[in-house]
Amino acid sequence: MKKLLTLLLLVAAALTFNVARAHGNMKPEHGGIVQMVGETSFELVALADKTEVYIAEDGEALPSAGMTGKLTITSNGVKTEAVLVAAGDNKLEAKGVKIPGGAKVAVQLIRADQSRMGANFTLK
Amino acid sequence: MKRSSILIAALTLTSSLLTTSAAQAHGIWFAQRATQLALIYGVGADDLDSVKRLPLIETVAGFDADWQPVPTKLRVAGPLLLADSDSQPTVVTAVLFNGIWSRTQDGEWVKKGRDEVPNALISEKNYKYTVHINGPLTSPIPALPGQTLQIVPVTAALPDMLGKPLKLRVLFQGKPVAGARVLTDMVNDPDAKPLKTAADGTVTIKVRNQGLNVVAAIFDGPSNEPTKADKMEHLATLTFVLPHAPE
Repeated sequence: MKKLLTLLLLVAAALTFNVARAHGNMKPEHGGIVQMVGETSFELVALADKTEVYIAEDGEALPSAGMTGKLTITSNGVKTEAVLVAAGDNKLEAKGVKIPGGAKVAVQLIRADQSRMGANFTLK
Repeated sequence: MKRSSILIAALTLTSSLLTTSAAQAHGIWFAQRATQLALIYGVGADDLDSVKRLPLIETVAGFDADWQPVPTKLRVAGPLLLADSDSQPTVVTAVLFNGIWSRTQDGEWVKKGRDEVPNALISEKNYKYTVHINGPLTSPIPALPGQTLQIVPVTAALPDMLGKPLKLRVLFQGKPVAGARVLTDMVNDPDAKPLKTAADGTVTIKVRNQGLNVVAAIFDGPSNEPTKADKMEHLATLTFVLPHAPE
């Protein structure tokens, strides 16, 4: 009986604990790397011919429509910038931008109401 | 008056001054509001009208991971002051000059100098500084422009869990300073007994929150306008966030 009670208490505690936890997903969904800033997740996908950014808040995709953005890439002490353009759903992309390994990348997104969000990445 | 009575009176006055000085010690820091980075003016849970204090802000600045400037400005958004940067900054800073304040004989604080309140118990010039770590850090934070008093983590690696030790150094005019008073958590425990920095300017705190941490340091420096203020009170904050566990 005592064992059953203990088990029930443990299950209840585990459930309560999970409810108190925040949402969000650190797992990449597009093969990139994920950075969480508060409850907002940024996934940076560095491809051979373009760079993509996917954005979600509290576990839900944030529509990129109306957003503008910028990548600031620092590699070997040289800083370059590239424009991010909304590309449907929760994606923004910079075509023709290939990020070299070891680069530091600052992602900056601006919504129509001028609110901003961003994240910093260091690529391996 | 007996010598013991004089001693008691002096101790009471000193205690009263210290208590009131602590209560005067509002600070500035950056905190997330609706996913935006807002500049807060307050103490404890009291988040005062920052927009009213916009004219008092002397500088706001951003820096990238290599400590190069990132153009940053403040924008009024309703009752908030939001920091807008051209690129995602690693660190954001600000400086606020809170004016000269004097404590009158009847214990009231007035925003006037000793030249206007000659019999004031004390007159002080108040500066507030803040450094917010947006992160992640790839090297230790250097002495940053305009931060006359600054708290820096000794290394770039911050703890990931509350309760872990964090060694900090307090810099005054870019150099380690002994005897600065350090509050581990200005928001949730503003009346705590402060720690004091050692001869090398360091102090080790236990990180208090699995969330926003606002560490404060207070240091009294010499007055640069002795006819108006007896001293300059510098109050610096360092803010950083320990992320909560993912779902």
